[in-house]
Amino acid sequence: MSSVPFELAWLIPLLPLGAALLIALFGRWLAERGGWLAVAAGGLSLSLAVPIAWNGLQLREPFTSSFGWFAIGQLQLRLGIYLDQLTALLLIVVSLVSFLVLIYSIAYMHREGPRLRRYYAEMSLFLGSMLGLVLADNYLMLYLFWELVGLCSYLLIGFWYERPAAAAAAIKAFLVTRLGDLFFLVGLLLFLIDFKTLSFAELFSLQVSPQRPWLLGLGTLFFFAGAMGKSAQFPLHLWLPDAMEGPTTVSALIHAATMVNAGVYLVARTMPLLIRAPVDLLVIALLGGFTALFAATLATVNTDMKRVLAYSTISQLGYMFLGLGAGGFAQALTTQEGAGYAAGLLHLLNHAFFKALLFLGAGAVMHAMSDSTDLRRMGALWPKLKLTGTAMLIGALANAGIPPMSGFWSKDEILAAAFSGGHPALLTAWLLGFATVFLTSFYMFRLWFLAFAGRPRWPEGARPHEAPPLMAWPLVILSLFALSSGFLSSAGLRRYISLGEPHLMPARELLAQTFANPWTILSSGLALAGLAIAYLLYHRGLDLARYRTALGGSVYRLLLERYYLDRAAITLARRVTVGFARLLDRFDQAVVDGLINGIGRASVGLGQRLRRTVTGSINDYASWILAGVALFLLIYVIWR
Amino acid sequence: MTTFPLAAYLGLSAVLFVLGAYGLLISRNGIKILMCIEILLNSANLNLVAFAAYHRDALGYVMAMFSIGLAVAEAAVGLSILIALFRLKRRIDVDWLRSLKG
Amino acid sequence: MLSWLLLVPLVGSLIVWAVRDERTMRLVALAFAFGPFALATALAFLLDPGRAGYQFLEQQTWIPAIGISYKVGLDGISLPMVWLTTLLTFLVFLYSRDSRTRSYFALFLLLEFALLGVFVALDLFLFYVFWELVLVPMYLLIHGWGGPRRAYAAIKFFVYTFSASVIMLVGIMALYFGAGAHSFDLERIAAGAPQTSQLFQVLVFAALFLGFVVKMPQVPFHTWLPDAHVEAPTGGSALLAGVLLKMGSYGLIRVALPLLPEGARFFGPIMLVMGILSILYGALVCLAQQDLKRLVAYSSISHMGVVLLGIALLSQAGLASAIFMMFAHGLISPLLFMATGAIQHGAGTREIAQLGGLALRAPQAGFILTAGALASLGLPGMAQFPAEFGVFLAAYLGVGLWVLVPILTIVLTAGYYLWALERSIFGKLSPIAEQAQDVRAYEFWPMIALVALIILFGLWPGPWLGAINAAVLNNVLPGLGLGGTP
Repeated sequence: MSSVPFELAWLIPLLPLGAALLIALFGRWLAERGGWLAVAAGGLSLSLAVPIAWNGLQLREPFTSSFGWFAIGQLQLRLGIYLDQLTALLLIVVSLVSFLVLIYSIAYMHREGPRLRRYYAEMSLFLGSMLGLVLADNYLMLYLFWELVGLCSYLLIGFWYERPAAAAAAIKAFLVTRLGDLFFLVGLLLFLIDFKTLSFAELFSLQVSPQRPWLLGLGTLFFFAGAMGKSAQFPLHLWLPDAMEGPTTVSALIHAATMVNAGVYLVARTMPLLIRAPVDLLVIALLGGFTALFAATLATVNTDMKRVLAYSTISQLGYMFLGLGAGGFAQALTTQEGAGYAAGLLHLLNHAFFKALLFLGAGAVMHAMSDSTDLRRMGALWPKLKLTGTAMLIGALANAGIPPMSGFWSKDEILAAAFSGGHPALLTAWLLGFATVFLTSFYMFRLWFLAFAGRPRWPEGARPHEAPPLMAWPLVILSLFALSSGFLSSAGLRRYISLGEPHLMPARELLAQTFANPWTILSSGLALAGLAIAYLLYHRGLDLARYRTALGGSVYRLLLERYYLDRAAITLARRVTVGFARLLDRFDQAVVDGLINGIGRASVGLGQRLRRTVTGSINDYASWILAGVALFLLIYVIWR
Repeated sequence: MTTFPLAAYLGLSAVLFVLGAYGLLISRNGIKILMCIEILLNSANLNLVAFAAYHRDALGYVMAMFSIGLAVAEAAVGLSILIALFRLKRRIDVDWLRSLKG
Repeated sequence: MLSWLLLVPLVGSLIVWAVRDERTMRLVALAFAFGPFALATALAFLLDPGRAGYQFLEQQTWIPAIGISYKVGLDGISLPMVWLTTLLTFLVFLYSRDSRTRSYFALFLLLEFALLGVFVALDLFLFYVFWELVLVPMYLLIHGWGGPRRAYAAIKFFVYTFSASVIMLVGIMALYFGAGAHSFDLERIAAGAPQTSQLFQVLVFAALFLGFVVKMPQVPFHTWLPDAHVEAPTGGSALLAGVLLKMGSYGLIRVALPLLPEGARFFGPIMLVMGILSILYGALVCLAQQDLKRLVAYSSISHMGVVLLGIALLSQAGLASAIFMMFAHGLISPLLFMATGAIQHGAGTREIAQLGGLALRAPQAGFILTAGALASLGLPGMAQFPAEFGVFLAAYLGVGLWVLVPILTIVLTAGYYLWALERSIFGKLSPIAEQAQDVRAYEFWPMIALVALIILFGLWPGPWLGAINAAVLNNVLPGLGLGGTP
């Protein structure tokens, strides 16, 4: 595999980007409106990414290659690629999951007809931008692709733009993430001005300028604000559940492979700087833990299959931030390895697989149920959809963190890292994350039982049927990953992904140690308890209404209304801001323009008065002339 | 030959000027207005000639001649305008000429 | 070379007037619009960005008695404006195909002549003559081919900007006498003017600034712009937003800053506040607009605020980025105006509330409008991003974290554009959109050309920015007494 030179990494994002351009221009005449071209470009990227990433994992020093882009004043900005273990990991995740999603799309989206050109062009652009994002060698280039990723999510969420809900969800996604992006932009400016560079290689080897020590902390905190937007952390999480208005394949891509991972990647990428600002790391961990719990509570009441998965994504992303924060903090204050960092990133890997699996499974269910996502209208799908059901079950087990599925390994490491982090804030975050374990398992199996077990509550005329092979194969492949990636990555990949010197142990020891830990056993027990309660409530006939009363009406309502945050945000945007804008517009018309028109009117009015002096009579004019001459003579005589 | 002082000429000129100006302001008859303008011009001519004689400078005479020539042209144009107006309205007063009123 | 650049549209204007046959006239007009564009493109390649001073200089005494000469030249600051003018005229000619008469094209060529003159003139008298000459064809274009309230809009445009530029003329006269050169030659004034007293500089700067800022226009001198845009024909709007507004900021950079450094320093904070105010105010007012074209007009005010902010910082980064912003906005706002024009043409209205779902019936119109809106909200990869980034960078250097105010306004910018898109081209199909026709081919391709250029300059701003940077360093900063700072 050493035969693939690293310079070819340039091609990894360029292939899908080029495909996007070609599809946009010539998609009308291509097979499946460019779908197969998109798959081919994705496949080529994948086949380049795997050997390059494999070699990249072994690198001692990051590989970089860059050239000048443009200059502002005396500051030179560059474009380039930066390849290290982190990039390698993300390259594999992004290109593999996206490739599978693209293949799945061929079958899933086929009905869309001529619009497929737009779909595949935007999907390729999305993939290319995400690959560019993880390969970027400086923050400005990262920001460039960061925004393109945001753009693609806007376009794809609004794919069915004729639906008002989709159009509204798209704008919400763009605006909420952009709010975070702008803080990221400010962070960029801070860094660029004070360190004169945005290149990773140069920044990471830099010493903090002593006269402004607060700057590093502030700048990286701004970066985290950007990450919060992209990775949907509280309070910028509002866009993600609504993003379900897009096609399911888009949701899979956003949630598993691209968009939401960008934020986690940014924080992981910035880690060498963040460990010089430990307070930021505590903020990140605490917010991550809080978001994990917060989103999990919301997932327990939602009746829309895709939205449950969306809240689950937010919650899992919270875990990742918790891991990164805890790991970085440990690294910053102690000499031991911050294990949470690796755990957070491995969780990203595992989550990408099982969440893609869940979404594609949900797509298969929708395919079977004529596009309905309403859990209240499903039930008893198991006999009809054995393959999809199995895949979803594997995904649910992995997401719930039940051993030995993939989610278990990394989540457990994250919690362990937070527990041993040695700071009250981290302990609080750990507690939040620990409570989330139960909720996660509960809502995942609630979803599964509501969809596949119980009695059929299908709408009239529903004929559930299994998905076609092009949709089934990605499910099978992802199921295998969701089953195996946890242990394999913790035992194998772990050695490459680490902050500082990794604390390694052989696989056997890892197994022994993991299952000897009482907290691990407790958390697994909690997960199983969640499963059991979901089973009792949703399989053994205890129906929704009972659960509702059991939870208490007001709490249930609060959760159903998403803590009223969405409403508050919409009120703020539409009522307050637009209201103020209307007022200002009226002010503009009446006062600012009124003043100008007033001057005009006053001039005309003055003219109207003066016109009375113009009588047209020759004698009057002559008298005026004479009077004038006399006046000037008088003035001359007096002043002489 | 008795010579009058310069002031006498100037005084006469001033009297002529005032007469002309007064006539100009009060008269409505176009012919009268033209005549008054002639008086005004001639008061100026008298001034010119008087100063020319006083300073013994021929330029004054030249200017006076020039002015007389202009006055002739002006009278011709003015009278022809008046005749044209008379043909139009059968009136020679200028009160009705008010199309310039603002 | 530059005289040819001026002569071609002027002669073209006369010839177009003379040609009787409609078809031939169009071809002739296109040819005369293409000529300057080709010439300007050649100039862009011929210009040596590294050299200080002006290039392609031509000088001819004109009225020697009072020190007026015909003097033209080009540098990295005027080149983007010149190129933009010729490009937009050409594209507008391609775009305006139906129901346009000879005088329409002739007036446009005259307008092009005057605009090019403003950007190449190196003699203040010449500059002023061209400056005022611009008003005449623009006034006639609005008045002759405008919307229902065109008379009001045209006279407002004329009187408002004319009054301001008369005050500017006073400033120019003061420079003529005050700088001790008794010449209108920019370079000769530049030798003497910076040494004059601070009071003189502040007063003269105030006079010039008023003329320039009304043209840009900035809050609170902006109200002529929305009216003029709403009533102007699409081609007129494209040139008005694309080039006419830039005359103001160009004048500031070319005349006011290097000649009156003390005045500039005195007015720096005022320009700063005015720029930031315009950014915020324009964006907020945009949110309330019902008419797509009016929205784009107010967004121009907001974006020109970014330009003024960049200028106000009086640094190399700020000035260079402001000039690039002028260029980027000169590509983007004409695109948006052409898109709204095409929508009006196809759907019969520009009212946001009456459109809705338009993209279903007119996908090309939807694509163009979306592309323009995305470019205008500063998406990286499109021309406005490097410019805004540079201005904010300079602003952070100049005013610290106050830069958050203009930066956070970007959310508002994204908000009003996307909200307008959501209501006009997305969502349920409205009865009016149902009947709408898509963009015509002759409208589509000029707009696509602009989209391509916007992306090209967004991905590859390097060469232009390099030339601008060098010109700012060589031709503006020395007058200000500044060296190259980031």
